[in-house]
Amino acid sequence: MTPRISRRAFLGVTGLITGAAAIPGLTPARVLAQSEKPGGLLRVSVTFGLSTINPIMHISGAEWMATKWMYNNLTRLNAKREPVPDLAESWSAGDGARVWTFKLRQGVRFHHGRELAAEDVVATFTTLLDPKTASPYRGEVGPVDRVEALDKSTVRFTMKSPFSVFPAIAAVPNARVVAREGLADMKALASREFGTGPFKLKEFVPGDRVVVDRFADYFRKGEPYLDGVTLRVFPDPATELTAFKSKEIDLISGLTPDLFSQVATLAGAEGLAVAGGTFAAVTLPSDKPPFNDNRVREALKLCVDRKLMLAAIHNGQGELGVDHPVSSAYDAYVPLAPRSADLEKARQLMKDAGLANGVTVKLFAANSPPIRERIAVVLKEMARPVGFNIDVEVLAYDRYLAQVWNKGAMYVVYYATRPTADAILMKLYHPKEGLDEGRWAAAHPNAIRLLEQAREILDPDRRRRHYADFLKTSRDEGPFMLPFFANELNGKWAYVRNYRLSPSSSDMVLDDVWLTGDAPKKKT
Amino acid sequence: MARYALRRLASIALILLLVSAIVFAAIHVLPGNAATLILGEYATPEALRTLEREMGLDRPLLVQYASWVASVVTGDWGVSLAMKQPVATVVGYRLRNSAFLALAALTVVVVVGVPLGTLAALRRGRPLDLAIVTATYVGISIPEFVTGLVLLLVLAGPSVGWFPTSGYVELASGVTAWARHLVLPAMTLTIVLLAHVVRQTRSGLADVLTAPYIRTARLKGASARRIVLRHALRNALLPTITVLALDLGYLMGGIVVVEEVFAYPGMGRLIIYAVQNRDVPLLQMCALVVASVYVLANFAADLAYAWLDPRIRYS
Repeated sequence: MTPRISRRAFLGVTGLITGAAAIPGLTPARVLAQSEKPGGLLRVSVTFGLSTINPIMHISGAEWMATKWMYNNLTRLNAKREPVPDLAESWSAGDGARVWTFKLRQGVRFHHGRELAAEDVVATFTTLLDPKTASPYRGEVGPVDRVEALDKSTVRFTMKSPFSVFPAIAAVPNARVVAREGLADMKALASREFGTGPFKLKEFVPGDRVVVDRFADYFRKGEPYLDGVTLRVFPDPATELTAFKSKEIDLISGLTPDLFSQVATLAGAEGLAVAGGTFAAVTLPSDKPPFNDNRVREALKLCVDRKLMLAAIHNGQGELGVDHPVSSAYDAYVPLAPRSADLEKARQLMKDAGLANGVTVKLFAANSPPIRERIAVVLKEMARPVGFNIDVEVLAYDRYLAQVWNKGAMYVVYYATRPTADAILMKLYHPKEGLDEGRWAAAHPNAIRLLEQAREILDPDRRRRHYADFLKTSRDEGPFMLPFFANELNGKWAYVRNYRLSPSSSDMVLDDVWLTGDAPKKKT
Repeated sequence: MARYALRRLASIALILLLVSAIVFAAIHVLPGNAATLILGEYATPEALRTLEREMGLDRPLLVQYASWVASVVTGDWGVSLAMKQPVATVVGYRLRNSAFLALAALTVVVVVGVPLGTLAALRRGRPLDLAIVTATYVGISIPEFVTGLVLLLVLAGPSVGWFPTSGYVELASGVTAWARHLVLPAMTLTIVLLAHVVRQTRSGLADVLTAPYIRTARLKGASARRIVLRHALRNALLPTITVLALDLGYLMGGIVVVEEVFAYPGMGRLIIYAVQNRDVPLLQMCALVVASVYVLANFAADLAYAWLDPRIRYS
């Protein structure tokens, strides 16, 4: 075990009451006294979002979970967020990370019987990248220019520019490999599946539930152990918790900190926590006053007592942030000196910037998820003594999307853990590959160039050192106030074994999860 | 009578057209469209334009509305923008679930509410009357999510666990399992709706009991039981039918909170979903279906009036 893993495991243990066996990297699950037992039905709950099961188009965590069970990607991410084989058994880079060649596993079967071929991978990526498809995450797949099948089991991706993290990106939910006959009808794909995954679709009721059955011909022989999985939407968290207590639900995904502490105190239940990359941050639009002056940005960042904010908003379940989006869950993580509140220094900076009498700014926060509103309200109070008069406006998510988001205002962004640091950094800062949500790129071309150069570096250690420069700049001059990363929180009964909570909780692998004999027999 | 019915049906068609136009206008007052919500915070201007074109959202509003009316008239309900499934399939499933729940709740409301109201009217001013009226008032005053959650925690919690907390199972997987899932939401709705029927029955019956024809019946020596059941109730229940017709409309589309608490896949949650996702074809059909239930239930109530009371003649 390397020191990096221990630290990560330690973060996972913070706040963890029981269930150490479920922490990635801490206990090899196969050393458990009992051995895997086939059979049983696992019932999982979520609180929202289940409109479609089309992997190319889906955007919610619940949908990503469901397609993870029915499909495979070329790669998947291990507990250290490194790409490991899934449908691809190996890959190699050429021409300075401009060309990526993937060798596919032999003898993989789709649920409808046909064998997987390189053409299916080509068809999937071609559809995903086609502008006419309008896939929401098209940008995240990187600068792919061409996809070709070299033979039955070899696929070659040619990039427009170097893209060193492509094998990790191949694990994103939208790059699940779909059989080419399924791609012919994108409408039908919203409610049918053409995958190779451990489970096949039995029933899908949009907005309510997904039910899947064990796929006997799965390429990981002997797996999955479960006979099936049910995913149900509970709009009301109180009902969800009661259903869990009554053992109508075996595993709750996406717990709030309040529910987490309740689950963790139940006898026989386990609260699982793992450091993730999920965060809410405040944009500081840097192309116009007052935040075009870095002294004002710095003053606002200095107002925030991050530890107190984390305790008040997320029950202390998280990792403190230093105003950049790369948490310890990412391969590119570099520890920087923590930030603490310094109101004296903040006041001085405001004075230097000519704002000794204070400044009034408007901050928008969507009402979903609730963390956005909470950050806005706590920031308002913390920044008041320094002279920031923050006028918080909370608005419905649909209005926020249409009227505020990405329009250059000051608002609260919220992002779940992405597959790579590149994905979240490009999304937040880059004016072309992403959206430059802080309107900061134009005045900081050198920093943006650092992000582009990182894509050329294949060696993870060298890449990490390279990112360190960008992260420092982002902390000291960047256009975001990012107070903390929220831990991923799940709850489960002890009879659910081998379940490992991923830093991206919708990355729910159930291939080798099994149920012990004391799991409830009656299934409703 | 037949001419009256035809006239009413024509006006119902007009009402439905108006409802659809108002709902269509209202959803377009809200900012954003289905494309902005499908793409979320990953939207690029290019992807937005592509999706809008594909869904026909870039056409003038009047054209969108006219083409929607044209296809609905020919029986094509269209495809949901967010779910990509036929609207008829989605709405049909939810409508059936809502109908089961509504019928269960209304049956209990009638079976419990009419006798309670009768009892209260006969014991007017006495402690039993007071108890019945107070209890039903408490039922209607407590917000339905509180009633629902209390029932859920008590009857579906780990210690009692008589009923499942939530959800819905198909009738095909067993009548018992199906009925068990209906009990808690139906019970919650009964508690909420009971006061309407009890109050209406009580005051209607109290009025009728002072009418001259009841005195006549009493003088000719009819038993108290015969007077209430045969003479008084039949007249007293007429307004109650109207109350039940309105309740039916509410149960078919307005019980969002109860459906959310019990994770019940009915029409109420579907309507909220359609609004939040700016799913215009889905919302339009939901609104039409719920409006149809309202107007048809009222129409049926009016016809029932004529049947129950020979003095009422429609022409």
